[in-house]
Amino acid sequence: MYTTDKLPLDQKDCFGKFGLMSIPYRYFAGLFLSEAMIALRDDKKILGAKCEKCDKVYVPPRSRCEKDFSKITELVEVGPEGTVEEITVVNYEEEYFKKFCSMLDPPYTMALIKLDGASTKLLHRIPGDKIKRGDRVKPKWAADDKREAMITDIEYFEKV
Amino acid sequence: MTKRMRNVAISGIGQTRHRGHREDVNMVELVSEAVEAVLEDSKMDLKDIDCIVHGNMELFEGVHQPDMWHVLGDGAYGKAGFRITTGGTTGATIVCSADHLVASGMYDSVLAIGWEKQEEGMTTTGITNMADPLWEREIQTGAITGTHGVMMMNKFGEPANQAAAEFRVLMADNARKNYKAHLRIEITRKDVLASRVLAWPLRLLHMCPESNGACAILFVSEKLAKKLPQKPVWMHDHVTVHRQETFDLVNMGDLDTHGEAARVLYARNGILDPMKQVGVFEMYDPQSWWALDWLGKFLMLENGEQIEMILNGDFAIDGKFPVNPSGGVVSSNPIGATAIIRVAEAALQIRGNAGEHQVPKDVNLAMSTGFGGTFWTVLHLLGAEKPDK
Ligand SMILES: [Zn+2]
Repeated sequence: MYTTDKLPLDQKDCFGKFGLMSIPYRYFAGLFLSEAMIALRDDKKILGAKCEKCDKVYVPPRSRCEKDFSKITELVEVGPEGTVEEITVVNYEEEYFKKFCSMLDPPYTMALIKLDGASTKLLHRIPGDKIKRGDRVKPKWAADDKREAMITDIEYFEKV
Repeated sequence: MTKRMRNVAISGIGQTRHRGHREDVNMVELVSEAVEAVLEDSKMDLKDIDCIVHGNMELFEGVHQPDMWHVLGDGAYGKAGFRITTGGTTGATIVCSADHLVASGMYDSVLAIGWEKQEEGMTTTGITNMADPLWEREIQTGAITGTHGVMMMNKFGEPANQAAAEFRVLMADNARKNYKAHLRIEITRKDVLASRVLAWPLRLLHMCPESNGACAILFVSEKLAKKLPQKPVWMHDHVTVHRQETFDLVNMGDLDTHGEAARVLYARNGILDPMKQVGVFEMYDPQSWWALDWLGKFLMLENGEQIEMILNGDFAIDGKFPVNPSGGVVSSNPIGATAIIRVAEAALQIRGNAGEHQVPKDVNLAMSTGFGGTFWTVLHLLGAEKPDK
């Protein structure tokens, strides 16, 4: 008989250590992208980064065009409305995620949304499971005292 | 001489200024600065670069697969590429890889990028996970150790103490000439010896800082090197030596990975007297006590001759055998970039355009090292002339 036929083994005889790795970090957005994060928090505005060379508007914004390596210096307002392009429905709560991230009550929809004026798609969520591609949506902003310059300053998107 | 399918040259070098704070840029933007600098230095068009080799320390910023994320700003879009992470030696290993990729004929141009944004993470997070979870992880400390200092003190006494401090002063003097260095401080031997003890005889001023920075080097085939404007610096050889990944505390003192690397490199390249034949040495010196010990190992000095040489000023920029004209690792340590910076600085000395910290002589051969883990070493040899000449 092979040992592998008897798995899993009793931890009394075959010791294993169970740990938790904790990874402290700080993340700096940089001066250029900070402007976009602060606009979410203070002005409820979504800013994209426009490449002067190829006219592409990146949302989320970034300071380099990945295609032509140009330095991007212009932020332009996009949305706030947009079109749902891709979807998937979340049916289960995940204990670990729930502990560390904010979640909506399932079922809810994860969606890639192309905001008006943007060239790329933004990942966000929409309550319920009745969303279709092509639906027009708008942001539901978090309350003034809850916004902290993060994507969660938009709680979710909802149908227009 | 090692077997080489074809010659490989360094034709471009780009570095950020290495700083303790870089809140003004995010990780990708930091890397972009080095890439922009190497494109400017080499006059190479990004679209003509075939492959990107990217590396930093695992877990240090808490980002999984940063090489993928950094495609947003490192020029890797649509190109071949991969990530290398071998601890402190990362930057030197990236260089080995880029050298192999061009030498083999697989690519004509490879951009090697090492970077670290240390203010964003916690060094110890990454390092402690190297230790065995059952036997070592709960007990060990981080990278600060006085072990080799104690060994040097036991062997050579007070002169070793003076020499370690004096070498730190030399690094500060050199760093003040290097605009890109992080710590450009004005210190005396007395300041070093009065700084607080971290782990006797290691003191605060002996130890490297945590820096943010990136360095990129362009490696090209001989044919391409001839078309590019910078004087090519030729890759001659490299040797990697390591003994183990877990700590072997019993045999710590015998770990002669540096000496072993040097013996192999010298034998293969006809080097009988490194201090005569090699013009400049960029050595990975995470702390000055290690520098003191390792100078002996790399330069085959068996009786602590480096102590006298340090006190004589022989390792100064205008000395007999210049070591770390850049100011070394005790002056700047963005870890994933640190070992590639050693190669870059060695190459700049051969090119002759290092700036204010340029050594005042023609450099024909230069050596650089990377250090990490439990005494891993990667030793590089670069030359002004092609290795087959
Ligand atoms: Zn563009």
